[in-house]
Amino acid sequence: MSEHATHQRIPRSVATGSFLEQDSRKTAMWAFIGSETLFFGSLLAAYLVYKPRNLALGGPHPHEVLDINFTAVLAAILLASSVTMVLSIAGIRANSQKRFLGWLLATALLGLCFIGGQVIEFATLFNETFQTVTITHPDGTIEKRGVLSHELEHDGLHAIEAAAPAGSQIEVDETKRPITLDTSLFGTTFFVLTGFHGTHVAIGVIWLLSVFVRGLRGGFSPINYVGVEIAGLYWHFVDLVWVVLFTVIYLI
Amino acid sequence: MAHTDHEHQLVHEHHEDHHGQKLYIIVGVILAIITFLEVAVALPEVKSFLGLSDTIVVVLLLLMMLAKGTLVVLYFMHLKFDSRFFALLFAFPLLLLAVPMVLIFMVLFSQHVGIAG
Amino acid sequence: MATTAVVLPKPATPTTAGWRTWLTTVDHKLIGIQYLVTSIIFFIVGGLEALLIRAQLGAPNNTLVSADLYNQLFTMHGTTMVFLAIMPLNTGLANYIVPLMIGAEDMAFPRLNAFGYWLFLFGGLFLYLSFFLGVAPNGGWFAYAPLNTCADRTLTECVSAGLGRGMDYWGLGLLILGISSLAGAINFIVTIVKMRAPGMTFNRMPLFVWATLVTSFLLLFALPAITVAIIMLMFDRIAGTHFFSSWGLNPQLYGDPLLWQHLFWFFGHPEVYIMILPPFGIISEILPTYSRKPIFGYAFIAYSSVAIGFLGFTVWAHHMFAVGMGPLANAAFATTTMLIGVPTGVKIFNWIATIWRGSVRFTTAMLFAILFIAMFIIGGISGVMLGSPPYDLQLTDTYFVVAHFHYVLFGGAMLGIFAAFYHWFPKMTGRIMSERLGKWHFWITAIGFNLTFLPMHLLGVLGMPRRIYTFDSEMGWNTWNLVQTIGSFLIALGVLIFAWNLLVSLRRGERADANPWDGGTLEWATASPPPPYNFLKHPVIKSRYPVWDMGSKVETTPDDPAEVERALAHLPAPTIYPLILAAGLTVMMIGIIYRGPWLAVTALGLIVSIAGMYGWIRQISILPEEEEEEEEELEEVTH
Repeated sequence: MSEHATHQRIPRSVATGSFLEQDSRKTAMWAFIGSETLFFGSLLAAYLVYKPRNLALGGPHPHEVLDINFTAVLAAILLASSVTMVLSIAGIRANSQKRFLGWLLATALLGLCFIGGQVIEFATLFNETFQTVTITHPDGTIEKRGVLSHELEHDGLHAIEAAAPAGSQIEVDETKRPITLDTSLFGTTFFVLTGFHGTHVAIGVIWLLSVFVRGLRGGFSPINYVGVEIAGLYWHFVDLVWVVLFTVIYLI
Repeated sequence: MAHTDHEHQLVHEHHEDHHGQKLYIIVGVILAIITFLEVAVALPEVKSFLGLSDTIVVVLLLLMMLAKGTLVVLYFMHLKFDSRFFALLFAFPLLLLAVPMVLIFMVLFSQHVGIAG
Repeated sequence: MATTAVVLPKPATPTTAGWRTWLTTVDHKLIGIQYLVTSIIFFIVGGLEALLIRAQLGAPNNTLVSADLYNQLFTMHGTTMVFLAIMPLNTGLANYIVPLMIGAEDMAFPRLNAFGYWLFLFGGLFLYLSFFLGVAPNGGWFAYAPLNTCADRTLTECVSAGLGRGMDYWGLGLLILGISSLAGAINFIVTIVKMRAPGMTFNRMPLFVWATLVTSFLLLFALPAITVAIIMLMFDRIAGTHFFSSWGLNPQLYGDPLLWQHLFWFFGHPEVYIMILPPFGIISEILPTYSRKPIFGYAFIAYSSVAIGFLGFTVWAHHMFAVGMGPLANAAFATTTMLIGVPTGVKIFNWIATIWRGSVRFTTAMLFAILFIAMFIIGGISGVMLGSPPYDLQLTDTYFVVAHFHYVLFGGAMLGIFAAFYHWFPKMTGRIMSERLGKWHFWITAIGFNLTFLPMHLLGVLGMPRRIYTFDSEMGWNTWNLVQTIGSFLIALGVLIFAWNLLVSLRRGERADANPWDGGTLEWATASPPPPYNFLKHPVIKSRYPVWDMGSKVETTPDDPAEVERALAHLPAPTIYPLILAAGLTVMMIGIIYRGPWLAVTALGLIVSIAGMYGWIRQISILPEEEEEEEEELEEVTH
């Protein structure tokens, strides 16, 4: 074969630069993140689709059972972990192993704090019970509301009576149901959605710790830190999901 | 040639890094402030004090969520400085598939006259 | 780094590889062949299920199989053909051909590639395990709620009656296969985007590569929906959640069976294009080769794939016109469905224009490609008919629908895949498949296929519902059902000839040189079968048909041994860890099905998975100072 008609084989790292300069692992990570947006999109769709039905069937109202202040702290923790993560990458870029490893460990610890917070949140919900109050309006329409048992014991039906139109019949279902996966559509959708986010955080923590161990053994340098970067991308994405969930579930 | 390019790149990144750290902390502070505002706006007391309707609060919350998300993606995930292809891999499924999917599902499952009627 | 310490992978070809190579290989070509062989076997099994179905329906009031077994048969037939035959056949072909077409030495992530194959194999075996335990899934391949939660009984009743494990196998099996497909999709995207030979711009990429790229994006974005749906289903079945429970079971607390349908078809419709786009790509390679003409309207074919890929996400609810979404929603989804017919039609015109005035050689591959166009037009038109809500309301759940999707998936996808086998078999094995047997295969398949599926249109219009296990002789369906059964056995004969052809040609087929068909794309510029490193040199990519640029003459002069050694050393070493990790994940699923004490099995699977993952990570992240140590170890092992 004549020289000009053929192309000499070039090492992959150079030959592959035809379109992108980035490491292929980063491309793969972004593709995976793109896929994950639809994973969480589907879960969130189920939550939003069932939100009105949950209320119509007398399930607990998210705002009444969720502790927004506590979750705001969790959101802050996760955001802070994103900052530490990006500082860790800045550290390895500047060839400072100390900053890299320190911030990385801080990120993993903040992630653990978040998981701990979520465990507390779930446990609180499991221990809480709610009852369904059925309000029959004078015009015959039936409205159902899920009310926390301890609030019912504390305040009685005053608030509900005040809000309902005069002449409504109010019935309280005596069965106290804990807030779990199978007692309401809220439980069904909320625990699966936030639980899967929590699982992602847990996987992220394990990943960060394995990067940390490898970093301790000098596995990364300013010219070779893609391993840190893709773990960081994953971590930021998990944080991003929480930004959305926090607003959509807890605040709205 | 390649060697000097490489060194140049290192120096450049080092320079960028100091710049970067400060930037990251500023972004972090902004994120914290927005989060604080989000929680504040959602409080019933603040809502009634400012006389905001539910719709306005929802719009404000969504806008703040969008701002936070954008900051995380652009600066923490380096999308602002990274390849456009990454932006495509992320924005295409998010904006053209996931978000519409959620919205269409909400419409299809609503009892909206004309849709379900 | 001393070169002597590097273990050279033996240049293994399909015929020389030992069993150890097959377990540990990360070579895309061997993995591609593993995919193809495994999925051909699953294809034959799925075909046997179809034969049983047809045998049962051959006569009215037949009692060959019971109603329950019939349900299991059509569920497993559908699931097998979709997830264990057509999809992996496409993946296998792409695995083998795509890196060659773009001039790469392998896929971007060779170990991930092996992992994908092993998950596919184990996922398939996992699904079939249910058959041997007598609890095969029986809720249809679409697994509509509440069929997927055991019909009208609660799950507890169901399981205590010994029924209903089948859909657990289905759900978890599909999760395993989903991970496999996701891994493959990411791998293809990165490979195609980043590893093309210099000069191969997007607009010079072979159309099969385009099709694979779009398919990978479809998988990437469609799989999450079914993954989530299956996760919800498993929660419903295990934890008593109410995602898909219906009002009938508990009027106080219920979800919505329709959520399953929406999530399933949000995946399911792109899935149709996942199955058909690669055969579109195959046809777009085969027609120019045997017409000795560049493809007509390259850009249209390439970009219409992209258009189909995107529109494919907007049509899902046309599978659900009859569920009462309301006229506006039905009209919206009907519109998008009509719209997606446009880019598909564009392709068909381009293919026909490619053949027009070409110097056509009617090889078996070409014949299958032409039949593909004809059959796919019928399937496409009946699809547009069903895309119209008033028409669909008449024909939904009748045999007309069965006819439609068999024209698309057998008349389309499978015929394209048969064509691909005849076209690329010489590249994979160095031998040409027998044209004489191929012609028999072709004609018998063409006649059998139309005998089987053409009457189904008629039966559908006559009102024969799908999924019924038998029918009364008074219904007026007897003759056509008998004709279909005869046709189905003709198809089986065709497949038998095909399988025989594969086996015979592998041993005694005519020897093929590097470019037996005078193809223009890059895979024909290397030896048949290609060496493990694919290319030492290849033509400069200046056009869409680089091999035609060099006058189609491919010299296979022996390469310089020193260069060969260097190229071999550059390849990733074989590894067993992807196999271990895949096995661990599959074992975990078995424990989840039976729960209780069986969770110990899940724990065992978890340990195996962790071990696999640890070994894998350790192997790829050897630190510089450890490398020598590792090399010494390897040296000891090999001596």
